[in-house]
Amino acid sequence: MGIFFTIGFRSLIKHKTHSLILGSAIISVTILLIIITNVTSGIQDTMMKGSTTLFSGHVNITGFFKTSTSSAAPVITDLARLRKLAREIVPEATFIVDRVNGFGKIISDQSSMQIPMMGIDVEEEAPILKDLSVAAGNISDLSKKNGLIIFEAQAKKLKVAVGDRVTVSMPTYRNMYNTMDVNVVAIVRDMGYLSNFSAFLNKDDIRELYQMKEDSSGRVMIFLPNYKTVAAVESRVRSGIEKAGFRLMDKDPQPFFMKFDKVAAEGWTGQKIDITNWEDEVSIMKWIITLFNVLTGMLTMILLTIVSLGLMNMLWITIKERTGEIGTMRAIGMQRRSLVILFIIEPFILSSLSTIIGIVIGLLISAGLNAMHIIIADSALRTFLMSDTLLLSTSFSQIIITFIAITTFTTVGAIIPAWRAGKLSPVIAMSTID
Amino acid sequence: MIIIKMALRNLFSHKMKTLIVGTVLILGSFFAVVGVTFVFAISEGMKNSLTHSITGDLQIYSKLAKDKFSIFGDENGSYPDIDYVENFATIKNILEKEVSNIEAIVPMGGNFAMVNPGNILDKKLEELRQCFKEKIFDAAKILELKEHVHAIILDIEAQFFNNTASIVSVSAEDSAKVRADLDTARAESFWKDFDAKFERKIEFLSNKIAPLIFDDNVLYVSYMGTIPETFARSFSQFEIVKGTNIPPGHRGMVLTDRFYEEEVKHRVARRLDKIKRSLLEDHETIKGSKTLQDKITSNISQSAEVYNQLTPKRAEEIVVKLQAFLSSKESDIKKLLEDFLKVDDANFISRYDFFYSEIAPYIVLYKVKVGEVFPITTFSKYGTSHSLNIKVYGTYRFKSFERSPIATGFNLIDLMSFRDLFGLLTPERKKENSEMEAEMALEDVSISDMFKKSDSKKESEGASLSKLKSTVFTSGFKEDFASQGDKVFSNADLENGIFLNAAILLKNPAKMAATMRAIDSVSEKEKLNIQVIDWKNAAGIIGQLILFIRVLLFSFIGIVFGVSIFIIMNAFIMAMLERYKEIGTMRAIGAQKQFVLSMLFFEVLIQSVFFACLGILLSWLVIVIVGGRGIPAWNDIATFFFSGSRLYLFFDWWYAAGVLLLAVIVSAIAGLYPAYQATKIPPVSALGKTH
Amino acid sequence: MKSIALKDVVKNYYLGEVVVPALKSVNLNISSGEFTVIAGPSGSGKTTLLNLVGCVDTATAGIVSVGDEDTAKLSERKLTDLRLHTIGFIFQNFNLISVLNVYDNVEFPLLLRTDISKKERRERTLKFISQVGLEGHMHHRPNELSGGQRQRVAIARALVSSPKIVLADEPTANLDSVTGQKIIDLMKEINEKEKTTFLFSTHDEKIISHARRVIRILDGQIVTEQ
Repeated sequence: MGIFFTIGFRSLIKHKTHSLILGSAIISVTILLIIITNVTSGIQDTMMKGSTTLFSGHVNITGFFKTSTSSAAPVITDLARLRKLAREIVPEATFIVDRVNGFGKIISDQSSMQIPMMGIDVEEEAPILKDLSVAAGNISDLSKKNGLIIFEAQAKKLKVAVGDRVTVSMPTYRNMYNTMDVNVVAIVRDMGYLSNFSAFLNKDDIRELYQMKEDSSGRVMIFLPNYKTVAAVESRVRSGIEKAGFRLMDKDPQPFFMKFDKVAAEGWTGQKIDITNWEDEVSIMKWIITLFNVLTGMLTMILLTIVSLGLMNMLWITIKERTGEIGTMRAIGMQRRSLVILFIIEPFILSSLSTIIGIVIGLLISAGLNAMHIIIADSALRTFLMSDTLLLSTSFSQIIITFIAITTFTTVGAIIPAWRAGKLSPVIAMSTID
Repeated sequence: MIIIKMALRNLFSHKMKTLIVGTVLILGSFFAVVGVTFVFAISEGMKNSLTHSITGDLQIYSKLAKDKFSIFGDENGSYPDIDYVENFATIKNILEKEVSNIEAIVPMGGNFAMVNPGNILDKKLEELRQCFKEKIFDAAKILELKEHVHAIILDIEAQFFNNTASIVSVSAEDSAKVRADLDTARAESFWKDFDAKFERKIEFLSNKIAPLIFDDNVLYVSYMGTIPETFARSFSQFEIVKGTNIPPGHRGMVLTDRFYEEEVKHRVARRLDKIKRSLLEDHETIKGSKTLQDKITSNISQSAEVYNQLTPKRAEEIVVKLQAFLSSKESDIKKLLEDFLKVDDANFISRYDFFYSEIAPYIVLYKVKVGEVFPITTFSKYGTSHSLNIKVYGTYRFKSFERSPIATGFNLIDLMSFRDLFGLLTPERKKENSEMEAEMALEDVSISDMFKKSDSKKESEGASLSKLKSTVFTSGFKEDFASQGDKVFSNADLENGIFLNAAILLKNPAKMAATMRAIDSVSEKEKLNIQVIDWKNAAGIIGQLILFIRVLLFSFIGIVFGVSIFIIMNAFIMAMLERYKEIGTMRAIGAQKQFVLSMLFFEVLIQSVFFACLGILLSWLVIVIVGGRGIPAWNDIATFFFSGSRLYLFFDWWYAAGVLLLAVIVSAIAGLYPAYQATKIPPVSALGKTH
Repeated sequence: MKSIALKDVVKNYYLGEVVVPALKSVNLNISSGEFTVIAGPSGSGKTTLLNLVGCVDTATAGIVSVGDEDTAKLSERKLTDLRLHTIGFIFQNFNLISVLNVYDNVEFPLLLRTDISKKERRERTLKFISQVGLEGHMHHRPNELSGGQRQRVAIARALVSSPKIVLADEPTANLDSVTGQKIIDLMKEINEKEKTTFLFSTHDEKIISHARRVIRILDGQIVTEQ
């Protein structure tokens, strides 16, 4: 076997020009693929980071309370019991907090905007909130009443600064509006597109605005040490909550504000619990990731096919050139199968080496782009990439998959010529010598 | 001539190389043509949707605007602050006179409102009121409605004390008030003299009992204030579907038919309509489509929307009819309806017909019906609210893209009402407000008290908010509609007022840039203080999306052809090596370098043209077959991009020509280096062994 | 013992539509340990004969048996195995693997075999390289060797497997007369020492004189024997 590798490797070196050209083609395609998948990964990471800081835990216990058959409030009751259950069902959780869901208008002297808002307990949430990068003010000031934390983009639109007073107006029942004056206690750096739709109020304040009881809230957010276990934890929570006697809603992977319409039309009343995860809450944006993946997949397929063809071509010619050698080896006593393997090894070496080089270069470029913190000017691009700066992230498994995919695809092209080589009768092979 | 012959023969003899290069070219050209066709179909589709309906070719708005204009709203999902322009008539006259390419100017202004069309009790009380007002006294119907109202009151009682109290903190005082009101409403004495004192009784129920139902069935209505006949006239694809357009001089709204059928229509009915369309027009089956199955499931879980709206008497009748129709002995209307709504391919049509003949007439099929008046409330950027009672005159759509979500997002309202709702706190406005508040007979506001903050932190502004709210839904206000809201106004009134932005339709869209410059200079000269942007910029993020898609496509094609160059070059080099002896021989016999070059050139040309054409032919087949039938949109996002439920592709010879040219250029570049090398082959190599 | 036997062997080639008879009913017996030449002008069918004996080609008619086995009855796999273990080839054009050095070229057949240990491989390779006198050139590539040296490598390669039969197709055709003589002497030496059957084709009369047995072939038929 070792001799096959030796022959293959040395043959590649002998055909320097071809090896270089084809190798460069494979390297370029690999670099492209690595960069694109890193960008997609970056988007996904941004989505998760944004989602879990702004409005979701890894797993959420949330739900709706219907006071009548035609209403739908995103409220859960029996909060103390739910939090206790959460602790019991997920003992490995790093922390568990609860937030009140809200939706309303922020009105300043100059402007206004209508966005979802969350009522939080700053002290309890300190570990989560540390991911927010403060531009001005002090987050912990929210523990005092009548405070508001907004993001840079919102501060810009409303034209307010820390210390300014704004009015928060929320539609409660039957389109009544309750208002409250609050002070901006902190302005936080934007976290991409998602933070455009986010603001934080003091939990007690928002409860007051909605006239909610003490033991009701919006969602219990459970944070896990390893987010890859989300699916397993989610199903544990589902069965645990159900066993405790709560009614569960059917799984519907959508953010909560998209479910109002549906829930308002359903015929039940009272409380139903909805178990969601962080992906559900940003599911409306997931189509971007899907789109990227599909496009990347298509592009890669086409490119790899073309490269495969190139390799096939090269192998074919090589075999023709070495027909004499092939005959000799067969005459000496080499089995057909061994011959086929020999002629697959050569393109295999070329593709795997090129792929590895491509991966290394691709990773270097990705790291470089990340370090440059490129700011995205175009607002449409910002929406897609869900971030203000270009972020690329790599995962080890992705690299492995890329490597296997490219190498396999390109080597597969070698099978046919190699097989034909094996089929060559030793006689004909030898006769070309003369 | 001999060169061409040789070139052809060479291609045939070196089969392997020809095949490889050929396949690469076929793949590349196929992908390029299909890709370009696909993307251009999408971008042209979206462009048409926009320019022929919402944006027009150009948009003008105030130069003093604080934000960038975007017709769909900005990044934060709210409407951009673009200030307003003083006088539409002035602007229109000047521009039409001085800029020749303008076909029409349509004033617009976008805003959105929340509409609560009233809960079931509101609706039934309204029906009851109408009955009493009729000349002919329909005792049976009145009895039916009274029974229903009674049933609803019992429901309210159960729900309020069991459910509402769980999440809302109600003070003991308020709780006692509610119980007292409910007791009154249930008392025999209340109902005994109902007919005699129906006005007061209905008002009591409307003000005290109806608010106890918490209804989250709010309609979010995004609308555009415009001059209705101008709009209808300027956009050629405009057509009225139901009812009529807003009559000139009157206040009113025309909803988009899509909005009417999607949001306003009863959910269960809407889903049945969609299933029918999928089955008949798109030839799908329930069995084979998860989307349709999901719709059926939703219908079943939301069947409460049907039986809650039926009067008890009607419910009894329908039970009998359903039992016969379904051959069932079940007597519970809820279960019967759930069974009924579990449709499949076999029984769908008959059940659909049954629904519309026997059930639909007795439920609230449309939350707001064409011809009805309903209250609409908006909030200005200052946080003030403004309300109007508006009559819905009809629905409209744009003929060729009725299924596109882009073109159908804007319900139309007359410009006068728009201005009122916009909330400019001009002195006139303030006077009007206080006049209106005095007119309204504000009696008791205890319900609103219960739900607003009793804390003094609340702004007085907010207090008047709730006050305004609670009166809006009573009939008293509607009665005043005829006297106050329906004053006829003149065209001059319409045009001599503010507008936010206006769409400009051009006679010749190709001259867009020049027209924009003309408008800018006229604005300077006449001090109009307006700025102009093209449709793509006006479409904000959507316009940029279109650009983005195109950029993506062209980069893809570029990459594919770039990589192809490598591969083709390699193939050529290999071929040259094979033909070392052959070319050396030719040179030895006496062929000049030029000859070799020409021969190779023709080979490359013939090869690239032939295979590119094959690829183009293949793409033509695919486009005609698949694109002709249309690519179905599989979800809402796809529907948005496809500007409809299907994307149709059209083969364009210009694209094909472009791709052909590209293929030839790519081959030429790839062949450059090998061809150059080939000419350097010495004649001496004709003899002796191969390289 | 009959090592090689041909009975009524016919071989036809097809050049498109035209049938070219290469061998017309050949009968031949060669015993083990022989040092035999097949002599004849070019185009007489010597190469074809060797190809058949070497199991590189199959006869159109007749029986070719090697080591008492009818080669027609053997599977392709078995034939290849036969070539690996029992038959050695020396070609006119040396046919060395260009990317391998002398050592690797000679070792190659042993690598194809699964029954030889690494130690033994090394021993044998070195033994035969020294037997052909190329110890000093072990790491040279074919393009760094003279014609004679290359042929010696080929011989070493053919012998390294210790085959019972060695077939050589015009082994001296591309060598000058002095070198060619040396090669023949070497082959003779090995034939005497190891008792390997040598069958080689040539049209060089000088070489023919050194053989013990000469089979003359003309136009596909055996003419005389000496």
